[in-house]
Amino acid sequence: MAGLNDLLPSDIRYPQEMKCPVCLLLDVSSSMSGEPVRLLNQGVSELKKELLNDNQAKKTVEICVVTFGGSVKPYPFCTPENFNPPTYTAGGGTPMGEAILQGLDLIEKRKEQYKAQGIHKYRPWVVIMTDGAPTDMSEGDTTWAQVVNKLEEYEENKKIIAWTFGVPGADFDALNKLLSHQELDKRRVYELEGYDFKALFKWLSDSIAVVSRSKEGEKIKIDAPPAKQIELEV
Amino acid sequence: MITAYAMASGRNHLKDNACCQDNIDIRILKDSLVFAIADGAGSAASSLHGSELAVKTFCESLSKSTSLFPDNTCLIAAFDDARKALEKEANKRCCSIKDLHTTLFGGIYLKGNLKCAGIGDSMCFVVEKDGEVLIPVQPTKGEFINETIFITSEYWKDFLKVSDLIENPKSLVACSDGLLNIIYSTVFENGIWKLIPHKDVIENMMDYIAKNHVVIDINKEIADMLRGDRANDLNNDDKALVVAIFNETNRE
Repeated sequence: MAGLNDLLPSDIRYPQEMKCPVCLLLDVSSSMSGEPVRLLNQGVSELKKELLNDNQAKKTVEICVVTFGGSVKPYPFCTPENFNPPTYTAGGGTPMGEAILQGLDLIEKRKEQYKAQGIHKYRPWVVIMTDGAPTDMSEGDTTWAQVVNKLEEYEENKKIIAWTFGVPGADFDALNKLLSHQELDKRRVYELEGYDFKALFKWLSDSIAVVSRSKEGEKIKIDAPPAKQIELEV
Repeated sequence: MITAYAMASGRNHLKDNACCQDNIDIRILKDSLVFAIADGAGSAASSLHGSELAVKTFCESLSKSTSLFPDNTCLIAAFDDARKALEKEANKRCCSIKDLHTTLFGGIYLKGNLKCAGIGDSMCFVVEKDGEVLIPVQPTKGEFINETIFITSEYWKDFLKVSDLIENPKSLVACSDGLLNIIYSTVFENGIWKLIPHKDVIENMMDYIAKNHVVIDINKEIADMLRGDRANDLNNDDKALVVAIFNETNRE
């Protein structure tokens, strides 16, 4: 039986600080085996280190991770100091559709907790990183429609900011179609050079650190990601 | 009527082996409840004694004058008596009354009606028949967010707030500000700090206490919860909590 202690709200560290939630959707399918997943692990550790070096970001940013490789594994939101990612291993297919849906769900639940505790928030960031093509959905099926509609609805209603990053082998056509609601020249679909996750996560920590120092609703400028923007007409 | 209460040192005080400076007194009479919560100021040398004396004197005074209820005079007289006792104690100790700095919040429930009053940043949340959560007395903040007004302050009477009469409440939770982020939050809107009770936490807590008070030591469980990691992660200040469920048969 749950006790009184279990009825307490879940821990949101630094509740007096406005929150900047970031959801990382990371591809750990079999094609990421070997060096790519090693570099990914290194990059994620680097992200934690960079955020902890920023006094404001370490209190403001909350990270959750959803990995997809064979199955989908969600890791709940926490502050950088409590972010202790396991060493991800690669294997299995690429259930990207389910991972996106679970990521959006985690964001919605966290937002409810912020609301219940009167905590203000910045628009959550959703960052998808993949080296392949989704294996649990394809254009025209129900999951595809659900994912595309949700991403569009969430972005149109300013509930999230979605970014996608592909490494060699990624299906950029699919990524473009997932974010086809974004204007073509501003579409946040990028191709990383090789597997430079370190540069990607450095850019990510620098960018969300800028967000974490901004005022609610303020327009801010961040550097372009260390990657080539992909513009495909879909 | 079911009542439960506990207080616990916050993580900051536990680390220094310091006592909890929050205090509670509660008197259950034939058909009434008198309760008080006080939060001693951490910066005052003898605030622990101040908060203890304040709740004890308030409850003793109010318990003797329940016949005056629901007139405000019984509540105001109880605050007056607490203030006089604190002045006397300061004289006895040859110290300033400021060395006993404490807030004071208290109330009385009698024959289905409730009234409470407070000075400082302790507070209570009252669950009404329709499930709505009422804040009968808004806590008083000082000039800055981490300041408040004490019954030991110079112009304390100017800040004393007494609630309206609340008829047939379902339950109440009274607490010190150590329960911030646990059962309530604050937001700054239009230049004022607003309290937001965590309705789901309060409702779940009431349900749990109503269902389990006979089979477990509910006061111990509340104390364990208040001194636990989860509560201290949310707020590391001292904590005091009083819960009263007035008519459990009304509960869904």
